[in-house]
Amino acid sequence: MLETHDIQGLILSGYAGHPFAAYLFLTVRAEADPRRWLGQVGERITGAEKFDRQRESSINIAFTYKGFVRLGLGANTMKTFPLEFIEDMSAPARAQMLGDNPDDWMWGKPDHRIHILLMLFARDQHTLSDLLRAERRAAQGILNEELAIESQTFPFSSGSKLNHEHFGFVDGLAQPDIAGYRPEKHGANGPGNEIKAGEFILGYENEYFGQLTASPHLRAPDADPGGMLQAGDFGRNGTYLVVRQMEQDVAGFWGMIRAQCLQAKGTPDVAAEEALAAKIFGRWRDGTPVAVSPNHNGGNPNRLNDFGFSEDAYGEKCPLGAHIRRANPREMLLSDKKDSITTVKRHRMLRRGRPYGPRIPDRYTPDGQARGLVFAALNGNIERQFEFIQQAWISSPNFAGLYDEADPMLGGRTQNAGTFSMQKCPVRERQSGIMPHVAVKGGAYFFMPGLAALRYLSACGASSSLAVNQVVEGIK
Amino acid sequence: MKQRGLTILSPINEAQLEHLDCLLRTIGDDVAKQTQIPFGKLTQLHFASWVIFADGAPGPQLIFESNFDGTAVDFLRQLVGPAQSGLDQIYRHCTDYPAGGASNAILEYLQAHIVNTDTFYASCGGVTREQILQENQLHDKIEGFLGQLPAGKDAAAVRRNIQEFVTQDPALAWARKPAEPYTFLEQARVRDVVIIVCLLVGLFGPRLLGWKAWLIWFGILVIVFLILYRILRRKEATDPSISDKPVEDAQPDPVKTEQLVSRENRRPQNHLFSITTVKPGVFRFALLKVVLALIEFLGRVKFYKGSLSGIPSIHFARWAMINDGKYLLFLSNFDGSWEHYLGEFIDQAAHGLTAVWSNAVNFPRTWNLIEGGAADEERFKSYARGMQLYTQLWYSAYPFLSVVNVENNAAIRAGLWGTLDADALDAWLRRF
Repeated sequence: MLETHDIQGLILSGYAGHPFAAYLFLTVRAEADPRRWLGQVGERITGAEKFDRQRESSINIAFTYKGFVRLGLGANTMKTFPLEFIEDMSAPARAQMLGDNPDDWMWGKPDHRIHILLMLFARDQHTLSDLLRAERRAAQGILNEELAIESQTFPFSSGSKLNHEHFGFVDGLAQPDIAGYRPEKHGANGPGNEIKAGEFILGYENEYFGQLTASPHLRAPDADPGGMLQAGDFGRNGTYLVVRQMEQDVAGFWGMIRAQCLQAKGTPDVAAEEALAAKIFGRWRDGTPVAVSPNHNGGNPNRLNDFGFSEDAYGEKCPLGAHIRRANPREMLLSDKKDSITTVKRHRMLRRGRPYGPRIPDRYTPDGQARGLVFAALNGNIERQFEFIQQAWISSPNFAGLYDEADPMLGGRTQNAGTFSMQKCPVRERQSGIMPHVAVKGGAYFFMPGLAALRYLSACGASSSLAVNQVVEGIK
Repeated sequence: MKQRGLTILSPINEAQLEHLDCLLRTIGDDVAKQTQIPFGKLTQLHFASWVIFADGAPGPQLIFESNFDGTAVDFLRQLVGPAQSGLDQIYRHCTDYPAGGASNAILEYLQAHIVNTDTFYASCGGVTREQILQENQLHDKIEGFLGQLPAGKDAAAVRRNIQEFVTQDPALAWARKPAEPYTFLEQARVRDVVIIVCLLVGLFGPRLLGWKAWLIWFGILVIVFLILYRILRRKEATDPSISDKPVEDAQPDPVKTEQLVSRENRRPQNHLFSITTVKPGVFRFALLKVVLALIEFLGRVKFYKGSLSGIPSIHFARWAMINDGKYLLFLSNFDGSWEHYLGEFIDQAAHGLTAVWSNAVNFPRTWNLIEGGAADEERFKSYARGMQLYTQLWYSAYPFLSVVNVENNAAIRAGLWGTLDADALDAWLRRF
């Protein structure tokens, strides 16, 4: 059983009832004492215990390693965080692994680290504005707002429950179901989609034979005199949140698709463009998997995640290097289906991303507006989940036996960028010039503590000395 | 042609250690552009590394790992030829090296420092470096040709066109005949015969003394086995282990890990160099020898077609018990990231790895030799990082090819000529 009273709401819900959101990237001011603010904001954080459909807004919070240091979490406890969290996403070795170039980032660089991420969600713009105003007032004098990203989801069609991202594709369909949590809500979501809670929330059994994922613990002399944490387990009911701001060049993407199709036809052919884009993404824009419906004349709109790739083992419907095949290879990672599912289940994430920026009026015409996706993924072990997916599947030039190709949406480490193979009978068709039109603008690794850990955090600063931690920060 | 792997261990002059480390790292920083070791001229060489084992007894050692085609003597001759001045630069930091000497003296020095490699593994048995590079060229050229081919042809016509294309290209003349087969004789080792004969004699020899003697002999064997098994179980329960620590406290030194990671993921392939201390005593020494011999045998006769026990991403790997069996050296050349590799270990080959490393100090707790251990995911990864050492200089002859690519290229060539039925034809065309 999940301890829902202690888990932050965003972990167990994507807040479909809150189409409006704001992400506040904060640092603690040099002279400020943030504990009182933290104690108060902690009272407002939305838990996962009850999902009240009538609720007007939700608030969730997450911290970087630097943030915990600044908030006075004890130095010995800090050592129990994993290295990737300590280093953060923009550290040179991690950037090398992820294929990133943090020099081009706007935030999250090694010399521009965020401390706290406050996430506000609301059912309408008005409520969000009020909430933003109130939270900004509360943070005044204590926190610096380094960056604010406002977001609004876009329903795929009026009344649709599905949302699309800026390129126009329905997004966020392939969500894992958490084993044992609200099983009545689990769909027949394809093979191996039910995954143990420990992959996403610390303190529970994970996919490695039911072991517990490592969790940051209190270590002497850090103490918990009030007994706020269960057995000193600071990480319990918390998890890691990976955030990446991914800017999308929508006109660039569709312009490229149009140019590719023009080469063949001579005149613009929207149907051909939709088909090529669907091959690249692995789904039609309405979410129908290409592996199920290669000609877009079938597929059950209620079962968009209930499919596998074994019917399409050679990629003749959904190309082997298509985005959704790389991001989640399902039962076709290895030659043996059962082995594939075992392995893939050990590398999944809960995705909570949302678009930012205005919808483009015409997808072929640049309008000079910045837009993209606030990629947000929850996982119990960043190195084994987020970093692994990015490195071994998304950006790997040899994924699925390919030669020098990377994810056609996101790009990767290739010698010659832009190659994309579409397997066909009798022989494959190959596009060149399929360049990524997504650019990372910033990113960081956060930890989303449980509510008890949050209370501990606002109280613990008093019992451990800030000065000691600043020494540690100096060493880092 | 059979591939081999030499492991050459040279004591380093202690005062020169830092110098050598710096030199190797400099060469290794840009192995494609450096001129000290002309790897391109070493036409038998697949992968090589020079790494330093600094903290062992009896003193710092330089380890040279090579994975090559043909015989050791041929390879060493070829190495000492064009690379002599580079070798001089490297090995003059080692004791007793005949710096500036005749090439014969250097050859003798290297040969004198070869140590036994207990388990040598090559994923694509018998496929030479030249063949890998040639077949990749064949693949690339055919891919280029397919890009020009008009659409609408049927499978047989496409293959025919490919055949014509290959025939017309004089640079692909070699591809008109199939690759050299990897023969049974090349795979076999004299040692196998000796061991099999010993086993047969050991099991069935006493039968010659009559049924009764044979039964008694089997009884003795069973008792000996049970005693050994008891000893193992007792040791497994009492050996100190990383499992005695909470997962969070088992993490290796972050500064060291950061150093290791900074060397990784520059290319699609990576290298892993690790040394562990073997648990003291004859029992573990002997057990490890047996396990390594068994894996060597399976790797050679069963897993030589692109995958080691379901892991399709190891090009070459080896284990060697060095310094009188005090340490276990592991060197691997693999596709993808460290995290990916370790994940495959745990998902596909946990039992085999546990059987090996459970004989090393501090390994996660095991049961019955093969259970537990590597299955303890986070501790096993912590352990693996902890025992890993920094790779100073590492070379790959085909840094952008995965094992799957190499196998695919070989299959493309193999299916280029001769008749294929409809299914085989479709399967062959899917290789592009």
